[in-house]
Amino acid sequence: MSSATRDHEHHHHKLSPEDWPDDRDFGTISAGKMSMWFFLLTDAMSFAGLLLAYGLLRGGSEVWYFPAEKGATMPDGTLASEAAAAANWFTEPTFGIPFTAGLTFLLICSSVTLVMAYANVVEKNRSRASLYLFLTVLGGTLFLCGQMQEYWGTFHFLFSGEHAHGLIANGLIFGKSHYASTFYVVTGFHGLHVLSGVIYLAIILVRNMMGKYDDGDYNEIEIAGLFWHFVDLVWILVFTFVYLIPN
Amino acid sequence: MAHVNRKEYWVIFVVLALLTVLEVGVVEIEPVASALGKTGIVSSLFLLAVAKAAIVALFYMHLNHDTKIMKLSIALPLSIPAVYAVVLIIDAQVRLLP
Repeated sequence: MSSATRDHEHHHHKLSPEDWPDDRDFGTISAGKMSMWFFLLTDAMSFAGLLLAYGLLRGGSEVWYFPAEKGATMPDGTLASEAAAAANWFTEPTFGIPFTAGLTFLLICSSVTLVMAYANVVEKNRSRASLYLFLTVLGGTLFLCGQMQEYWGTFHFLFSGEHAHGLIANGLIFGKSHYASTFYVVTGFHGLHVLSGVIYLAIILVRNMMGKYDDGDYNEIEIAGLFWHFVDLVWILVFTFVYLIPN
Repeated sequence: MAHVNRKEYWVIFVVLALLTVLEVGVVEIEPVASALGKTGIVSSLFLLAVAKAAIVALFYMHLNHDTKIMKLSIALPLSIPAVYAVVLIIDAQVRLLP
């Protein structure tokens, strides 16, 4: 082998996470993992900007929204429909907390299945790792289905042909109020992350099924895991700030 | 180095699920909500959300196995917009006071 070929092969040698040099400040964290953390920090700043805008608009408004549900009242006890009429404004639907709590639980489930997939890659158990990766992708997909149901009432439409379900059909229209616009911007941006995560993890699942991680190299799945857990982490904040904080 | 602790992963899962139940309970269970009042509800929800987010970062994103400088490199840039947000939102609310 010529020295040029040897140098070339050395240059492309795949470093397993165990081979990374032990840096004094950052330990044995791989370049890929560090890059994902950099990306996640910039991504976190995008979410921070959106949540800050949401918080400022909500914190600076005298009335955030007038609930449309029959008999709903304002914090001061007046009937929401009458308060809306008096303010020359309109009523809008309230977000369903139990339904969204179910979506939150789905994401938590998909986080534990992903760390179990990671554990099985480390322990070189390909079939178990594939099963857990599949469950993670399924959890993410069901979350997206839940979001479609929430926005458009997709499943009511598919199963009964009714158009009356979902937030949009009930009057939560993007651009109509700060309450509506911030909701769609924040949850839509998060939903795009879930979609990206589902595609990303589906690719990792296929690579695992092809035996790419049979040597126990967990670097790729750990990096993908960082992204997915970040999506879960952001949802924890979105669920609290957008859904749970009362009017 | 790989850090695998299956038992810990499932314990964290149960803790996250229980904290979620607690969050929903704070808002949906009427006697609890009235006892806490709006400030109590918002403070509890904020603390619960921060606790859940920290648990995910430390145990599922394995930050607890990373070095101190790595932890600081993540936590510090994230805490700045959080503090900024809290100050600005409080300011916006104070301006609304009669």
